[in-house]
Amino acid sequence: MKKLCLLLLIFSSQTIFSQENHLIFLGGGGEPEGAQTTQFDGSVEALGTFFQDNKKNYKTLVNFNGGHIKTEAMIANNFKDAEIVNDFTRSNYKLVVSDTLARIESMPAGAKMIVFINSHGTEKVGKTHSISTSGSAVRSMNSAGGEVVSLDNLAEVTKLAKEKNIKLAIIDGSCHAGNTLNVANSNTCVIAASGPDHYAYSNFADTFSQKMKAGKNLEEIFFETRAATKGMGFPMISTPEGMYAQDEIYPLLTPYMFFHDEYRGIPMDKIDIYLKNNATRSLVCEKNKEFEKLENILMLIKDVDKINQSNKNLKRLMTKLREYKKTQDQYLDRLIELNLPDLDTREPVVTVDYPSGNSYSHRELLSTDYNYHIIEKQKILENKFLLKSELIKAEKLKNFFIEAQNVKESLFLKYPQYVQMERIVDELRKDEKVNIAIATDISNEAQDAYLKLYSIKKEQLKKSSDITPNPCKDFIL
Amino acid sequence: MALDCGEYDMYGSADIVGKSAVFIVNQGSLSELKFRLNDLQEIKLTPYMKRSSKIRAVINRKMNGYLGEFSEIKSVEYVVPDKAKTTKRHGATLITSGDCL
Repeated sequence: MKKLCLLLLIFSSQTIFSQENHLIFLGGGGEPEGAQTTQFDGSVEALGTFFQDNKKNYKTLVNFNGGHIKTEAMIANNFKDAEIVNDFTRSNYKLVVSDTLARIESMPAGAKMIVFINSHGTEKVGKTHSISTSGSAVRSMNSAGGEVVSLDNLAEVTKLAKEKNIKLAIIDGSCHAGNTLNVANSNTCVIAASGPDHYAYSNFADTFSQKMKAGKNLEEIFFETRAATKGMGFPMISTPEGMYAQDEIYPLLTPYMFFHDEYRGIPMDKIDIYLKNNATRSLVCEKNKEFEKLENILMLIKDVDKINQSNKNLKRLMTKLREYKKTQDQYLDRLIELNLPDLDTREPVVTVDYPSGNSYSHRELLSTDYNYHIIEKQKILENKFLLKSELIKAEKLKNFFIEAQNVKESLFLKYPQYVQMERIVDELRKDEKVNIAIATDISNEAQDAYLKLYSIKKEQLKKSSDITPNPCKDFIL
Repeated sequence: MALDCGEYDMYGSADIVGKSAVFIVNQGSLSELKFRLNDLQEIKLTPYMKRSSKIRAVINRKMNGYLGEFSEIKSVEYVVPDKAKTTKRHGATLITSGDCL
């Protein structure tokens, strides 16, 4: 029935609303079952206000949430007169993408479309990244773990918008949103709440939607939002100036915006994986060179910048970076001093059922929670509705994972350094010097450096004879 | 689009969907491909469950639409972000074409 309604909606959007601008609001997925609200409700409220103030100018479709009563009531109230598809499921998302393409086909050149996304977002998958749908709570802050949809589908939308000369804006408020910049083009402005390798643990999407007012352009809203955002992230924009500023400092700042924390009991983890993967002398040497490069860029900005306050902020950023690097280096030194065996050394795991078994590297054994897999297989064994062959398979795999866990435990006896390594990582996870506060400070203090690089590029572009399109500045609400 | 038989490099992640272990390429997109894993393949990919990874695998049976299976998974590794190469880190790349059984 919902599909039928959406198909009717596609048909109606082609025939009745061809002269209008469009607003598509997507997301709200990955939130726990039973909760009455979602963490994205701030943007529902603020975008609802924009809709109420501008509903004559923007034909609006909301495909948000699913199963959270208060959020649904808020959508019904704030988006009265908009087309609402309650469940943000995979099938609805596919239909909405088709509907979006159909809308663009019917829009006159120069018309505007905003696609506003706010959901849990994964690390890079494909060209962009994926976001959580409704009906499945996130299990991992890096890969979501529940049901997701890929934003790669928007590549087709941006391509068609360019062909039809439609002004398109994609605002991605999710974690790892910087990956969505990969679908930007000369007609499509993409704005992201965070860099591609970082969580957007901030109020960026809420603030951005609050600042959306008729007459403002997207570039100015981005900067107003960036200045007012509280929390962790590294907001990005697809203007030529933004791409330059981001390329210059984001990769170098990346390790210093990693941290360890938890969200609803789910680890928000980047720092311990990063340190474990960089605990060799040669990689530390490379890290030092990159830090030197970052310092040089910040020094250059500081020299160019004559504004006192800005200089103070840059000095503060450099101090915080040096402090955090020192903390990271201390952990790296301790890991290197352990003289760990080669993590690629392999250990065989065999059972009666799988005599050829598998040989796992130390890295694989140490990073795998076999107890979790044992529990999962046990759950299958308790399911009375399964076929005998499925139960036998689950039993065999459970026994294999028990053996793998035994091999893992024997590694700790054979190589006590691994016990030390785990202790160091445990200590790291509790260390206040590597928590979200330091990463948030650094991402916030980097604002002035970002602004300065942005304005340097703007000046360069002004002086050059090339007229580079700026789809964000040209997009006036 | 279904893949022809042959040896491939694939970027994706292993997961348990329902009762089955699968390897998913281009997850959530219109070009999603799903490969059902046998016991030994599940065992091999267990450390990589729900994590971005790259595998080298052989397909020797015609795919049924977007569903398929591997005759062999030759290697697996974590995908570490590499800014210089990010745009190429997805999908499946044919290494050697082969005959279907």
